[in-house]
Amino acid sequence: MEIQKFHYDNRIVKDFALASIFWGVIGMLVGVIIAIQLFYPPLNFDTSWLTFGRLRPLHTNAVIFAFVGNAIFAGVYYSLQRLLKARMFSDALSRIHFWGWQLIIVAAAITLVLGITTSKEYAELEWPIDIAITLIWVVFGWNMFGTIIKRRERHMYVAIWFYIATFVTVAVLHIVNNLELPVHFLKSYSIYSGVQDALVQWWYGHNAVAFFLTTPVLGLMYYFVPKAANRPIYSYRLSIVHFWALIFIYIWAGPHHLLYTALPDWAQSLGTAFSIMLIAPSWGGMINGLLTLRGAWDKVREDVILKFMVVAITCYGMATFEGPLLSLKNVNALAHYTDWIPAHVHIGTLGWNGFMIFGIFYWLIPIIYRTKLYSTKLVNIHFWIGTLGIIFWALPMYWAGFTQSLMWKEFTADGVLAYGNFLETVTQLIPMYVTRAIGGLLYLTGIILMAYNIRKTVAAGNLLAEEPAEAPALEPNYVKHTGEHWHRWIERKPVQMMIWSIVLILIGSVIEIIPTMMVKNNIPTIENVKPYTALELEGRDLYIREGCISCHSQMVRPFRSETERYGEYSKAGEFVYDFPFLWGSKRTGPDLHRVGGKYPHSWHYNHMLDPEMMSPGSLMPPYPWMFENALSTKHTKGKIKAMQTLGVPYTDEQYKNAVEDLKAQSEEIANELNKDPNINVSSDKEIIALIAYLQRLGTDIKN
Amino acid sequence: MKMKSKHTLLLLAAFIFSNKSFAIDETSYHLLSDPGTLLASIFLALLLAVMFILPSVIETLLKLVKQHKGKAMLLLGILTTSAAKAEIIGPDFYRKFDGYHFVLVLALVILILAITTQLRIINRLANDLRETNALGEKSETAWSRFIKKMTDARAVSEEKDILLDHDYDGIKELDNNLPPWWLYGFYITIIFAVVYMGHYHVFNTGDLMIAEYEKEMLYAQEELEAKAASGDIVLLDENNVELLTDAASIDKGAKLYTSLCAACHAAEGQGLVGPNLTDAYWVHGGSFKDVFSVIKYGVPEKGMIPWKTQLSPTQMQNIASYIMTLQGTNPPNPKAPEGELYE
Repeated sequence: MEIQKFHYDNRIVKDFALASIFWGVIGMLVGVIIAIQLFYPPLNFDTSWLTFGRLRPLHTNAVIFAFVGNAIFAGVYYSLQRLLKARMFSDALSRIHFWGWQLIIVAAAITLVLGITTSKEYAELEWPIDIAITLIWVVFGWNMFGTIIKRRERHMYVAIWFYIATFVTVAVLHIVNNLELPVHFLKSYSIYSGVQDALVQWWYGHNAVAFFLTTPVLGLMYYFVPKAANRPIYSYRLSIVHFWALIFIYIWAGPHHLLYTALPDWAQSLGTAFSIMLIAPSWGGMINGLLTLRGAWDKVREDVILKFMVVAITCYGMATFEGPLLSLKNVNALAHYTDWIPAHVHIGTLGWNGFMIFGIFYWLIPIIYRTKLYSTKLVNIHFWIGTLGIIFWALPMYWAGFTQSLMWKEFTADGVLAYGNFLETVTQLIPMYVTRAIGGLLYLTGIILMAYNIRKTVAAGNLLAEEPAEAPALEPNYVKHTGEHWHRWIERKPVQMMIWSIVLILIGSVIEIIPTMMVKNNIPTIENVKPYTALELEGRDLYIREGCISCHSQMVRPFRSETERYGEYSKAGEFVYDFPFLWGSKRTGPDLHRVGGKYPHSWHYNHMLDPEMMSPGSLMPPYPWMFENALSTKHTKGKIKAMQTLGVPYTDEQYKNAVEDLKAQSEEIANELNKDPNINVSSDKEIIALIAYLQRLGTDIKN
Repeated sequence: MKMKSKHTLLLLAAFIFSNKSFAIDETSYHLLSDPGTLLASIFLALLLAVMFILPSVIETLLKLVKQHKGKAMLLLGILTTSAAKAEIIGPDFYRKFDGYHFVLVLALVILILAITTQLRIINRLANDLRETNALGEKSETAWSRFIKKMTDARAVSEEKDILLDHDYDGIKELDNNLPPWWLYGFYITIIFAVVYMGHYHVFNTGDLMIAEYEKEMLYAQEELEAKAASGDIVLLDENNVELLTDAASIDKGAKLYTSLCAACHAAEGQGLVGPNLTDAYWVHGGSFKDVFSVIKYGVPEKGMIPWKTQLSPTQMQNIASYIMTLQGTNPPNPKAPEGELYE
């Protein structure tokens, strides 16, 4: 067989790697800013763009899709070419992929701070950006499969199985969760409402963790750990079993984000059961990673790159053991909505994703630049400062989670809530929030050191953009080895590999989502529940714009401590007109589902103008711009129309008179407010719409 | 192994199917007076987690102690002093960080320690196996045989026997068996899942969330009634609440007033958004019980918030008592009288 000569494309690897570091610094900086805002709200300088509600999605999107995303692409483009002994299929596609992805990130950063958001966690971007993501993702898949097809290696290594599963599953998740009806270029409504939207969102949200932060990074682990340690993979059979088990089981686990909510019980229980079954498949990856270092443990002591990787894999093991525990209903009752969850998440992101990526970059960049790292000492400092950062981040948040949850649930001997004033349970956490911000700052310092170190390394080196390689072409006919493992068959067949991956991830998806959509008794109808008025709908969109969902849930769970505090627990039928659902996932402030009618209009007015006026010590920022901006009614009719299309029973009268109705209701609220001698507000301000929405929340079942 | 898995299943069942754990968590009990089965639940879960690795952790620790007596003592010293420090920080700094929470945090720390220690074990095991190999069967014990059986790993020195002919950019793969401890663990979780679904949705032997909630509410109600009947507590409401005049109660009331009421009724009660509380005119009645009622239930249509879910009856009693002391204090800039003269 003739030996073919070709070149690996290292330029695209370099581009993605440097972009990842750049966005990593930005994303983590935003993280530190919002961490400080949680105990020092004035850090937003009274600017709408910089409030917690708008920066929080910016932080999550930046670190997940820009930092980790670019790193995944760098690692995939590096390893894929070498594992398949082939150059990337098309340089043009590589370029489009790179620049497309960066443009998407820039678009995300701009729109999110402007409050242009769908409010669905990790899927906040509006529909034009969603479409761009879909296209660029297809470009990535096309480029990857093109490379696989023209490979010079018969069998695909386990890393590539993970890449394929990642590609197909993220595509399915992204498209299904982002199906939305546009109202105009920058506004759309999810086509699902209430319980159904919640289920689809957390099926997506959970699997964004599974198939964006886990499977591709496992793939990278399978390439870079054995390369860096120069050791064989511990067990080929373990790779097979844990790969297929992981992708099959992971997809079912989403409902564990919705335990004790209005989601049907059967779906909640499936979430719990499958989460428990996830322990072993997840740990399979950890074992295979760690035991690959068998016999190289002496190296780990000296080699800081391996240290990064070992801590990463260990954090992966911890997070994937803790996750299933959190999915048990009695643990979840304690942990949900508290800081325990961010603590859990950050063990995964700072530890597993961050440290794995740092290890990979420190290994890879000197290789493609044909030089040595500028300073190994700085890498060591980065390792220790980063580890300290993780500890300082996570421990106080665990502590805060337990503290707050137990305070929420504590009753006095007289049978009343011991901490009836929600604020008490928040101010209690301030020392923990301060410590957490210090942890974040340490971790950020680490990546800045890395950026400096890499910059110096790059300056001293010289990029080997076209790395020469050679390999024999594949024989047209393959002769099976005698006694080969049965699984070798599918490793030669990329298309079958892709199809089986899709089949496996669709089983859980279909079984959970279809009945929730189709079976009527999953969401019992409540006669009294009526669509929002035009003004309330506009107010709801302001609630979405300001990211209130970042800190406030709208889901009273059936616990005594919650029904005493907030009122009747939330019912599935109450959310049928909520496109999208706004249940939230964190209570930095109190739940708002039953806030309607609880306070007078003037309370909300004063509270939004200066939360401390009504709740001294509050950590909520003021929203002065809502008192200056006039409410835009340009799209009000369009919104009603869109809702009609989605099946909300607005009459044609309501559609035609939408703006008049809105104005009439605004007048009413403004008049009520102006009775207060200290308030003087005109009826066309945004605050009026927000108050209208808040006063409507959860009131339908009272009538 | 059979005995062991049976045991595990029992523990598992006890853990998952104890609805009571949750009920107690939510009762009127002061959480600290009852350690609660929640705690037990978390411990059981942790126990499951460390079940397979704990023996090897202990083994290694013992070995470490034997080898480095001095260092181990030092470590022990550091651990105990840091625990003592946590004790000193105590109630003021983290009011809620008392025994109950301490145990929870401790449980997590144990988990983290166990897992990090496991990292060391893996290395040690590998070394041990290598040594065992070199020295023949000399150092084999029942324990090491068990560990060997559970990990079922081929020694590093023998790995050429199980090296597959795979080669991907220089990466090779071994053909080690699935670690039995891992595989059994997987089986257990699958059995758990089947039993869990059966318990709640096939045999309907478990309470789903609404049934659980109703039981919890009933339980709390009975508990309160029992306590009231035995005279342990007096259920204060607008019918039996009494004016307090002792300095301590008035002082408590004044503090609560400043933080919660002054925003609307002004610092000295002279009225702002809300009415003047220092004159003899009242919108909703001026008796002590009237004032208590207004605080408790509010007058939402006029802007007065109901405080019953935020304040305990005693706190509302304190505030109402304090407000009664404001009568006739004539602070500066009073708001004009509203309502009717109450005599």
